[in-house]
Amino acid sequence: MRSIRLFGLGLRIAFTGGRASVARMVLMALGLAVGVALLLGALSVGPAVGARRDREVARGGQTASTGEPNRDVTYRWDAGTRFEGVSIPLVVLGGVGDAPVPPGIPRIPRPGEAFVSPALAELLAGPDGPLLAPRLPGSVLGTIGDEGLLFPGELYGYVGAPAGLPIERLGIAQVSFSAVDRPSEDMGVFALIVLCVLVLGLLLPIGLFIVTTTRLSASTRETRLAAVRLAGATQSQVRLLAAAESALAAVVACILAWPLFLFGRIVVSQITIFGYRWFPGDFAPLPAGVPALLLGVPLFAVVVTMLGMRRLVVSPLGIARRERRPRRVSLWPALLAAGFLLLAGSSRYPDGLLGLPSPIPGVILGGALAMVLAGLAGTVPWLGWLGARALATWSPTPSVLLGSRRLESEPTSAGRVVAGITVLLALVGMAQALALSALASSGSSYIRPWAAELPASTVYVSSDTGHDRATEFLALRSVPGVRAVSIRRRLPTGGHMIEGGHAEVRTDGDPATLERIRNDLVWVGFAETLEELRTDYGGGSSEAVRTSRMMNFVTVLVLLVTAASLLVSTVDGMMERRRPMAVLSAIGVPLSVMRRSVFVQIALPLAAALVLGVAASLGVVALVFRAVGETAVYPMGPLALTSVAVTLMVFVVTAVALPWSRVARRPELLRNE
Amino acid sequence: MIETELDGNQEHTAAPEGALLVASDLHKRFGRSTALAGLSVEVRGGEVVAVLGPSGSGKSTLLLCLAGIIPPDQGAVLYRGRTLASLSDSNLTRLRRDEFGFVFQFGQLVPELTAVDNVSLPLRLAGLKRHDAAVRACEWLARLDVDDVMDQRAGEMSGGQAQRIAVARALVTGPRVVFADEPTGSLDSLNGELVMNLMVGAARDQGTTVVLVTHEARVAAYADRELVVRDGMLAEPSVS
Repeated sequence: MRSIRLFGLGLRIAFTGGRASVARMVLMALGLAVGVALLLGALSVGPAVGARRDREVARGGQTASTGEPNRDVTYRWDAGTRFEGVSIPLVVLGGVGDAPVPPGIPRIPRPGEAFVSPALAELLAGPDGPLLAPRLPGSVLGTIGDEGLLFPGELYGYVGAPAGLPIERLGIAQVSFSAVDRPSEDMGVFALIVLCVLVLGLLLPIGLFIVTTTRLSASTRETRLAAVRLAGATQSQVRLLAAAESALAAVVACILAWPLFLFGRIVVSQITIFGYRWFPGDFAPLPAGVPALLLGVPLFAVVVTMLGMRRLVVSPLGIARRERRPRRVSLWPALLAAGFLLLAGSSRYPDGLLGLPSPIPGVILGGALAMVLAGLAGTVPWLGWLGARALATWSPTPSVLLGSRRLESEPTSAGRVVAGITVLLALVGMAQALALSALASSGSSYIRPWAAELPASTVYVSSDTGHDRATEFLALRSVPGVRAVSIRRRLPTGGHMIEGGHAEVRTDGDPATLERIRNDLVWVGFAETLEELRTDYGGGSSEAVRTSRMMNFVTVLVLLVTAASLLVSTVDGMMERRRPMAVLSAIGVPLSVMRRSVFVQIALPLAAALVLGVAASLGVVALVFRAVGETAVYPMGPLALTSVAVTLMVFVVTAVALPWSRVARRPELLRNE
Repeated sequence: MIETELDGNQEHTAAPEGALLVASDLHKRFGRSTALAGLSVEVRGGEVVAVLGPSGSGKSTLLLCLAGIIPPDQGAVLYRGRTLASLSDSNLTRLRRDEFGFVFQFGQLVPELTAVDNVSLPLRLAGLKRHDAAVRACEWLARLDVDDVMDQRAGEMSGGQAQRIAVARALVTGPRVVFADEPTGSLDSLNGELVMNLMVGAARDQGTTVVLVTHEARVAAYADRELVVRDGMLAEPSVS
């Protein structure tokens, strides 16, 4: 009962502590709200992927079993095309009996009719529409509803099967179009690793951001509450008062997070993120996760606050914080080494590992990875602290002296940021290596290297059914912009090709000529793909591309969250040190020296993060690939790109925070009156 | 002493004979409260001046205005005949670093720096090499009898030690003026006496002017002259 009354007193203090107190609480609530909204977003990733899969499944529907009488079925042929570099799936439909209708359209289009997505309708109505229109013969009856599309802005169309042709030749017979439960596929070890990596990669920086926000203006708040301690409150009572303020901010944050999340998903639905888009409604957090989040975040904020106050010492002479300097010997590197040892052991006996029953190999590898990631997150701040100690004794300039001594004295804030960066680098390395490996082993078409070597103005066309289409290909000579057509009968490498199935078309290089070639070919071979090749065979494994894109998405998201954490901790750090900064200003330390010292404080741990993150990433890739019996592919490009992006982000964010240093060193703070 | 080259285009005003610092008709308000209300004062080179007055009378504000840390709303401060207001921010910073020294009530050492770092910082900012700056800092720490805590941080030493290190930091560059705001305010009488003896003694040794803000008569007794400030104005003529 007394605790509840104290909690209430804490809430009153938070509200009645003047403008500064309310402003600090609002700021904390806003920061936490961003964190909670991001967590809601993270909880929605799975359902969004599931919703997307449901849409794909509903559109794909169920096909008739072999030998089943073809009654009440819809025949379909997926006649994809490309326009100005963008893929446009066009589905040719023909119904028999009470034919099932795909989602989003009222009925099966008849010959000469089409239903198109709103984006495709817009494209057709635009200036380039006439160039595309020949690929959609007949009239457009209407647009496809959202339930028939995978994402907003999708280019998609249903076309009625041409009259007078036996529609059975379309190939696929659909008996229904609906989302059916598919048995979940057994996740491979690699997929499990990728999933763990993505979840950890997303949650860790968000968690660190929430910790940063919860500790906002911590020393100002603690000084105020310590005055209550001097008035007679016990240590635990003071902690409870502080916890009340954090809990209040967290509850307000949970309320504010919902509109932020709803607004965020509308924004996300408007933009294409590495080739992916979603409908806003598809981003729905896991039902079980929401109450856990709403309870967990205030609890987390309370725990962080109470733990943070452990080091507050109140004596009759005033208030001090017990310095918690990292020890010269840390256990984090030992954890990191243990993780690597486990991976090395697994890679030394790959047959033994893969021979173990599922899910033991996944658990071993996942456990080793978790140890490596946790070890990295702890080792990098410690290394930064060691570096700061060494640099402080050498300190070539006053700014290095101030920055390194500050870092040595208070390594936690910068440590949180760089821990996130190190883990991000490690994750990027692992995920991109998996993607690159899958890409390297896919798309090994015998034609691909040859097609890739053709000059840009030469188009390679082929038929996927093996029919002799020499006549149709030679007819392309009448297309404006086509200079010459030669039928290919033999590969330059000596291999045989399908007679009349391939041709090289030399053009004037105008992109419109390529579109006219596609217009001529799209309906020539019914239920047969006649397409230019360069863009069609160059894609590689879609799973690999998806992994790579997803990792890019996670990287950008993590960078944004890390940038927010860095901005909050840098500005808060400067505002909390207003008095020392005012003294530095008084004794003649130029603003430029103070600003450079702020850079030193982040540059040193950042360097440790980049070196260790990249090294650990490459080490993990080598060992994991060996453990699963694959040839390692080292993602040097993505790692270099991410390192540069991280460095730029850190310096830009620090530069953005620097104007606060002028505010923080205001000399009025030196007045005693 | 480290000489500062001041701007060539700054305002020069004739100062009274022997006056190092001249403040005339200083006004300063913070929100609705008036800190200085037309205060004028002169400080001669090499003298120790105590500024006395009750809390909130404007003593600290006067000190900060004289040191060029806070600009007055009205009136001017002349240092060696030059108006401080005419100096650029960087020249003011350099002036404070090279010609002024500061001691505040709670020492106000940079908390994360060691004692030797704190004392050598102004020297390093003036361009001295790390080793040379450290040697001079150690000499001052030894002179003020705090060389045993040279590698400790502010939070790891007593208030008296921190204050003596602040005195060392203020005097290490050989400044023309030391501004001290309640230098013994946080110390017991024994430590207060020790700090005052060391500060005033060292200042007199090198001919440094000291402007001392205090509300304690025993501290003011170290001064050559006392100024009493009340309601932002000099309450009575200065006493020599």
